[in-house]
Amino acid sequence: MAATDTASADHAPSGYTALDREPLVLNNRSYSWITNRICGIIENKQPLLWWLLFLPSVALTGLMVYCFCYLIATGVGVWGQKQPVDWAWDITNFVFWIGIGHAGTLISAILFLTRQKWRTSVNRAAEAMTLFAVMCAGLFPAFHVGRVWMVWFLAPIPNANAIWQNFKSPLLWDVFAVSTYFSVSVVFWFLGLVPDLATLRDRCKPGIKKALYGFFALGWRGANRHWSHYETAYMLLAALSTPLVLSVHSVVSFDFATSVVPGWHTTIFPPYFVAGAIFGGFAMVLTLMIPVRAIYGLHDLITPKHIDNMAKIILLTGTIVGYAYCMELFMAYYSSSPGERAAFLIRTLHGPSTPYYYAMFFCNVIAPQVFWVRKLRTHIVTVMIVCMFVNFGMWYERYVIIVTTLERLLIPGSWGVFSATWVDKLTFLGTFGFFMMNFLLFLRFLPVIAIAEVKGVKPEANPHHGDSHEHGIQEDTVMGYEPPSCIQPQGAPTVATA
Amino acid sequence: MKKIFSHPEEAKTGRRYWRSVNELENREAFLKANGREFPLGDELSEEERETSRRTFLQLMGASASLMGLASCRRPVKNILPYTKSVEWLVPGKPLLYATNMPRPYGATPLVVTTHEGRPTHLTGNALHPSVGGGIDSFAQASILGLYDPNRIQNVTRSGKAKRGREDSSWAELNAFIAKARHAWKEDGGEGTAFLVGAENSPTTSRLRAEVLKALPKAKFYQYEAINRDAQQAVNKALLGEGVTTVVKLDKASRILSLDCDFLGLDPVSDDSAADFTKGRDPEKPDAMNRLYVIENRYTLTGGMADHRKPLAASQLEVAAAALAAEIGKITGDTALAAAAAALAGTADEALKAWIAPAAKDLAAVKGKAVVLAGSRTSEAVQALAAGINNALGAYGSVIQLLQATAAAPAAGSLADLTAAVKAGGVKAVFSFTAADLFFDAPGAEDLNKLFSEKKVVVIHHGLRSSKTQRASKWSIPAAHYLESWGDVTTNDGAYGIVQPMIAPLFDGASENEVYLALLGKKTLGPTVVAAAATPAAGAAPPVAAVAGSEDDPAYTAVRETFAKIAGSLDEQKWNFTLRDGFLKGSKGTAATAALNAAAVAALVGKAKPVAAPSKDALEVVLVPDSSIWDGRYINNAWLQEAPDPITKLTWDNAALIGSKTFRELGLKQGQMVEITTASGKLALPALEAPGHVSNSITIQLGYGQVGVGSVAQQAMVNFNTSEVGEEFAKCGFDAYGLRSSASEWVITGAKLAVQSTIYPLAITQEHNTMEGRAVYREGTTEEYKAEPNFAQVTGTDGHAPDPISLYGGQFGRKTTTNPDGFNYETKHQWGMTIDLSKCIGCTACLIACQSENNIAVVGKDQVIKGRVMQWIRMDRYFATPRLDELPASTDFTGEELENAEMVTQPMACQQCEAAPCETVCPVNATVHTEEGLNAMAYNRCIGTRYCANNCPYTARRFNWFDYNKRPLDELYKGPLSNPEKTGVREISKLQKNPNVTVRMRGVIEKCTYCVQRLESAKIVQMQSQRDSKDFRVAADGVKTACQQSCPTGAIEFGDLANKDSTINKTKASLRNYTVLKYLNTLPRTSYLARIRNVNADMPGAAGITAWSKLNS
Repeated sequence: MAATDTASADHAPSGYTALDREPLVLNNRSYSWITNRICGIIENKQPLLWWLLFLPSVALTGLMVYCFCYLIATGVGVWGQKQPVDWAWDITNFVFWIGIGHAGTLISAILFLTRQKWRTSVNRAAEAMTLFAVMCAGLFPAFHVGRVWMVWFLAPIPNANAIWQNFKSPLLWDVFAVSTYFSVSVVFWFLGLVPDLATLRDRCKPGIKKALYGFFALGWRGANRHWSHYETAYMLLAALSTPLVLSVHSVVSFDFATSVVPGWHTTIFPPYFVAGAIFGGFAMVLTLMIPVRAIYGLHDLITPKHIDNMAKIILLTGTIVGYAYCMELFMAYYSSSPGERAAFLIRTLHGPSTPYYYAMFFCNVIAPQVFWVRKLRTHIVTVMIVCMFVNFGMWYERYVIIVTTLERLLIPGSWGVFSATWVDKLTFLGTFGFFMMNFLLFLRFLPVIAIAEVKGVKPEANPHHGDSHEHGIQEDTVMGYEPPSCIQPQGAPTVATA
Repeated sequence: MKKIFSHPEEAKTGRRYWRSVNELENREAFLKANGREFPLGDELSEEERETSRRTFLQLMGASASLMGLASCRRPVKNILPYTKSVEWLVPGKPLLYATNMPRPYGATPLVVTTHEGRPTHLTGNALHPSVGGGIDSFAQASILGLYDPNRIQNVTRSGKAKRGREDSSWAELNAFIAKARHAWKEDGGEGTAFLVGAENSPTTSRLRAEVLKALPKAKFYQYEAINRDAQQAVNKALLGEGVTTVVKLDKASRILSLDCDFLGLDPVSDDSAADFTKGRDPEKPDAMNRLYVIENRYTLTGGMADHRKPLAASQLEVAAAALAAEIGKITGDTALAAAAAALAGTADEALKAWIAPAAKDLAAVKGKAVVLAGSRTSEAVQALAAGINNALGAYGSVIQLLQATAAAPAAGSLADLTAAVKAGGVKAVFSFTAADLFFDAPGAEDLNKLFSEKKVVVIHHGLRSSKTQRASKWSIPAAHYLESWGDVTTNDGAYGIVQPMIAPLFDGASENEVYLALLGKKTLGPTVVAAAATPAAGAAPPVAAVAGSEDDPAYTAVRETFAKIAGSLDEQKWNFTLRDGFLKGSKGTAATAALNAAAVAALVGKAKPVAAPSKDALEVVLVPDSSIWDGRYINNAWLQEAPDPITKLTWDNAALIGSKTFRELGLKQGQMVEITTASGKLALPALEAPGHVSNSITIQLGYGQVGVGSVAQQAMVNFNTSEVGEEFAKCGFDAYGLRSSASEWVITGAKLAVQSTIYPLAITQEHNTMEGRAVYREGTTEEYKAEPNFAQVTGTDGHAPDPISLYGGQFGRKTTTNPDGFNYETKHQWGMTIDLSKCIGCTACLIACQSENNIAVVGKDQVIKGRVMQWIRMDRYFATPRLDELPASTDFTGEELENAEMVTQPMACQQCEAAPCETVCPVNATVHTEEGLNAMAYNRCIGTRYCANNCPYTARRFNWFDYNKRPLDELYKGPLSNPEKTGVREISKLQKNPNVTVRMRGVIEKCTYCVQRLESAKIVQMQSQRDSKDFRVAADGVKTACQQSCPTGAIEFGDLANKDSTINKTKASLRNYTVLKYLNTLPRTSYLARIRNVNADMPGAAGITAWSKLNS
């Protein structure tokens, strides 16, 4: 795309031919505009659409609560599971939601560490999405057990029987991995919110609102000391979260990979699951952010550049996932293991659920390939359609892995075909309501874009901005970090003008 | 907490003790104080005491806090010990008693396990000379009949005001009998008929004779729905009056069955299955017997056949004649050959090509070969079979001839009774038969009408609610055989005692008791104390035990018979007989009858060749059902839910149609078809049956009864009727209406019309082929001799390295000095083998397991949803060498499936040493014991079901609902289900094994090798060893329930660490293999490959078992 920031182009230093980057905030919006626009979402009345989305979401959340109550009161049999298929929609939904919960922390932690400044416009919402997705995910393993009132057996609490947990079980690893991921994600998200909460506090009239924002702003005054501590803590948490992004879905994949079930017992699962999770997560971020951008008029903050970047990640991870699908088939052939071969033949050719496989393959591998075309990457309708395909496709992927595998285990005498009941379906639908309800409340009460951070990508954030005496180049900095030395200009002095 | 004991009522008899005059007089004040732990010091009531504000607040505060605390407590229920201990009874320890189950045409010797006076489990009586010690599923499940919640519990009679039935009392019944007796004195029983079953009981026979003596003009008739009348008539014609036959299959080395399912529903001796497998030890391949079977559908016998010929049932006469002609020719029995010649001429070439080598093979071992004709085959088939057996010299060698000696009065047939009723000569019928006359007799509707037209008073005696019972004037609740005194003789004449295990639960009377009442020797109704039974061998010394009370006429009647048979009233002999369950040395009288060749020719001459069934004139074959027999077990949940061994169908019957016809008609599984025969019409679901002959339809009898009890009813209403329509909401379809008295079992010329609706069938196995996986392995004797370890090198097992455990096994590291890793010093190491050469697939083990381990019944709806709970899954596979490719090809008509081979494999928890289920359980609910058991801690299980997914054998079962607590038809209502029906019914609780947890919902369960039996065996051993350190249970000292019930002894179980145990011998067999060995799970249960004794001259011999070699 052609450079649009004429100011920086005009004043490019002689002898310096760095390509100008697309600005991350369009129309050269001022700090106050940014603050007003983002805080305005919270401070103004919500648009009608918000209510139209919120009320059904609350209703669906109620439905979810009803379904879980029915499940607990009656028995797991209200779901469609049967003898060879002991896990079905429950674990499919768990893996689906936990996968969605990957993009947030990836954006906020890994992209932070790699100094991808475009993250600032989307990281807050993506992190919130992560938390809500993980909450939805956590519901399924918790409630899918036969005796949910005994689920505390999973916690390493000293007890009179002196029975410890089985640390060999991937399900226990899951408990630790998911709970660690969730708690670190919450802290990370909250920490990032602190300066913005202080902004909201300062804009409020005295009252409960102010008191609450003030309480959670932890006495933030924007002092240098605060910023210094804040940035150190933020970076440390980012470093702590980064391995978690990779570990949590690897551990989830161990639920399958460490079993002896052909179709599950595969070493490719950890990278394949992580790539798939990032893939699905980004699709969900886009699915949420594109409407938010349109509804609240955030086009200057979430620019085509952001959408383009995320589409590229979807293309990359989608292709990795496609590679994994093919590699699975190849390994099944190459292993010479009859059970393994049969499992994949059944999955792809003559099983009861082959349509799911092809739906999955199309949605996850074929559909994202349109993103090779640059125009389509920023074409909002195309992006939305592809993202919807990916959302569906990633659910199918988990269904294919879990249900179609279990339908055809090693002893043909025990084979059976799964079919879902209304409780299965409504529970899943209900979690979407729960997710949406949380997300809409988040939009209503918390800044959807990190105000402080997005200001940091403005040229004004550069300490040398407007400084005509000093050596410096107009260069975006993120929250006071110097750009890496490799992209800093060496030698030639520059003239920067406002 | 205040303990409130619910004091049981004082016994009405015996000395009464009292603490005070108040108690003696039962004063109110005493009763009030009795509830208190400490009697009150003063007489002031709570209200009379002054309460200050302070006290009030104190009390309120305290109660509020206590209320909070109290709500945290579970309700406390106190149990009370016996105050008067029962003799021999140690709480928690079962007592074992021997008894016998009377059955139509025979008896099953049993050992009954009783806990605190409740019979809980049945096993075969291994001491009995006539049987092998195993029992079939009917006998195994008969204990549930005792606790059937819908047993007839009251005396009822049809009401005067046409309001249907009304409850009556025993007193009224006794009055009715007294009145009848008075009348009989006048007319000598004129117009009184007794309709009886086909049980062999000397006492009953004797009492019948006495009744006849008292009522000389009364008549006895015998009726069973599934009867052997034809067979007995033929026997009478060919061998003479009163001659019965018992086939000793262990003495036969070549057996040919003409539609005789002797391993299943048509036994030819007291324990045909055990006798058959005795001659079938693959370890001695040259001494193995060989079985040929000709049948129209797969039966268990067909599944065990070395060579099987699918043939329409109407063509059986031709096949028998062809065989007779061949054998007559070879053996030089020209009379036989001549008699068969006409029919044999109509045989087609394929049949002849099959018959000829088989006949040669049979004739080659004269005196050791036998041809068995099914009891429902035509007279000609039976006569030809008798002729062939005569030619083969089977009489006297394989077939024992016995002379009936019972003093039973001659009984007429149902036809005689009908004729007598028609003639108006019958005023009252006492119906004792267990069959349901107005439901299962040929032309039952007309019979019912005839009886009511002629105003015949029916006095029905039986256990179950039936159509006859509802149409009767009086209905007398019968006592179950576990509640009554009686006796039996087995087919080979051994005399056994039926002794009560428990006082009649509903005051029912046995048939004997009714006769005694008719003779004026007994008043029917509640008795005070039933006679105690005597513990069986090994349980306790016999002599001291109290046996029977002299006041009980039923008991004295049996003793009288005993005295006659045993020759004396010797008390010790009686006690030993009670202890053992049979009279030592008693046996039938041998008959010396010669076959009447002329009669054979006459019977064969009557037969005319029947045209082979065609598309437009189908044949319908009616067979007894493997679950409900003639319909009498329709309310038995275990049997109903035990899948049919062949079709795997539960809770229903269906029209079994061969694959070719099924595909030609374009049918779908469960699609409704309407079958029309000369005498009736029936719409029922179709089921594709591989191995079934084309243009032939097999239907199981007994289903479609209405109003027979909550269990059958449950199957009817359990699934959502809105999905399938009200008209399908019932338990099966009544096929009795299709027959007439002329053609009872095989009906030709039937028509079939396809309907569009699909009926939901509850089938436990969805997939019928093995998909080329070497799960089941078999070979022929020749292959076995050439490569004895073929089963161990099949497919991947041939080149996979031996499994290595990273841990050196669960119980010891494998070292050079201890190569198998066993700790031989102290621990038991349990293991099991299942010999597929012996396993006939009868599902007796499955019901034994259900009875022993308190396994829940889930109902038809849940079976359809794939949630059956039985711990043993009887996998049944059909196989042809090319079966897997066939259905895909376009020209597949299903014809190839007619000759498909069938194998059955019991599959339960394999107790893997490296169990995949154990590593994945997050809460350690399933762990390994030091003895090699894969143990389940039910109260630790939270139900993640990961173990079930990771079990390569799919052996784990999950409690999707509270199957034990909630009514099965309201499972989906959960806590809102009808509170009146919630919880285990009191009567069903009585059957539960107290040593096994009744599982709640949300937990996984599975086979544990009957760990409760292993533990109690160890405890007994420890007690007997006292200070010695050797607590090892003796070799073969403990048996699992499935092993104990197996009629063929296919299951071997024992201590691998004990070098003397049989399990080590079976494990050492070269046929021994483990399923999915390449997974390295090291299962403790292994299988012994099946060996078929193939006759190389037979057509298609080369292809038999070939499919097994193709597996990987």
